[in-house]
Amino acid sequence: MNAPHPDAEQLTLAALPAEQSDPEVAAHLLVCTQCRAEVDELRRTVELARADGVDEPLPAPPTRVWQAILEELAGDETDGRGAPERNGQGTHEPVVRGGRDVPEHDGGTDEAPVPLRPARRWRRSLVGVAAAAVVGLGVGVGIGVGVGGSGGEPDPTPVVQLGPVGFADPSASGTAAMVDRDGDQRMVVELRGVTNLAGGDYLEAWLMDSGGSRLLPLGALARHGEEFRGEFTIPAGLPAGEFDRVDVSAERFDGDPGHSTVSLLRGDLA
Amino acid sequence: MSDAERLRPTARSDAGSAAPATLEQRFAAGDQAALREAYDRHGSAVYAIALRCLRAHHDAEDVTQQVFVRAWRSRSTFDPERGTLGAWLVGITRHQVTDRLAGRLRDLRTADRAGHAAPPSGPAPVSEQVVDAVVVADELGRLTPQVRAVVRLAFFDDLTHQQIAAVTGLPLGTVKSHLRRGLDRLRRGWAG
Repeated sequence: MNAPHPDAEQLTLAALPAEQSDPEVAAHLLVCTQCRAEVDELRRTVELARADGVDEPLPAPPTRVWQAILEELAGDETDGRGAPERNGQGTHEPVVRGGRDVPEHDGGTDEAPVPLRPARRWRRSLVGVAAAAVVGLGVGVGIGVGVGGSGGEPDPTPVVQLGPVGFADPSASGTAAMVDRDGDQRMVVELRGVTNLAGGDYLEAWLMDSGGSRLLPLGALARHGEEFRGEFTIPAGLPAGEFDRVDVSAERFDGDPGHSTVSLLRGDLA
Repeated sequence: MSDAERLRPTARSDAGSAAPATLEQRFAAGDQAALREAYDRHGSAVYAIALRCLRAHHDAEDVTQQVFVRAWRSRSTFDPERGTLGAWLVGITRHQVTDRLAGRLRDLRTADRAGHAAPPSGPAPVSEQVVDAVVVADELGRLTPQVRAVVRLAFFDDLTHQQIAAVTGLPLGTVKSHLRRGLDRLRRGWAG
């Protein structure tokens, strides 16, 4: 071949449907198999894009698919680590990010993605997983009891050891402690060893009931080097017996106020 | 948000290595956060392929679940040197869809034995076209907004680069380089 190859942009234009053919490029393509192969691939790419016909980003699979993956893989773990918990039945869906796409009772058209049987199965086994995950935690003494430092500098009293669950780093650990700040009950959550946060994720602390069906968001944890810390006001009059578990989840800045379902650490208050 | 800025993925596989490990490397090394990232990045393509081949939401969800479970369990067989994680996951998706279609065929034949009609001949192969079109659609949705807008005008509105420049107000050279970059990215999605 004697003529120089067309440049990349010329070859791109040669592959696009609306562009006028450039005679020089067209002549080159007749004699150069290398450039022709490139243009053929680009043309095929345009065809594929047009064939799909859907000029929309592909929808993500429903949230329950990730949940099911975690559950199935949790069975692989032999060291007691479990999957994040899914909430129980009922109208509250706080543990499920995007729980709106889990229709509990649907008319039952062909289109409806309603795997009722699997959904129940996930929940049932997750209760067991969650129960297993808290075995071996330190004995807690309940919200509001472990207040340290009566007068003077508040002295956080560890009341709960937090241990890794689900996909947390197995070396992750932490404490939740109550302090009294001028009569306000505050919970101090401190974590170490959380090394596998996905890019852009942050940690958020929650109180939940042991069934995982009710949630109270506490707030985001700040990072200090290798450690995370947050201090949160516990509302006066909180029915402590109903929110007896501290949960720390990995969250993303997606505007969804619900729990991501990716729990990393947990501990029971009582 | 400086706190958020610092929440970068951490390579846990190669101790003390200065260069951050790629998603591929971390996945192969068993970093569990990499599974979530792989799911976020490729889950919608896996799901779309399964849905288009199987035409049933429940089956497509099931296949998506199995693809990631199997990928994770067999991550030691994934070699980042030999291909992208996306292509590997798409390959697993093909197998899972084929298995599912074969299973349906078996069910049909069992039903036929009890009844009527000739059994269907064999499972429909997983269409290359369907898989490649999903991969291209997936990449199209991930182009930067400006590149994507230019590519869409060329693909779906049949505009020339001069017309695109006029419509968007972008310089001609920018339009051409956007088209090149966009099309090349889409091509690498399916042609490797």
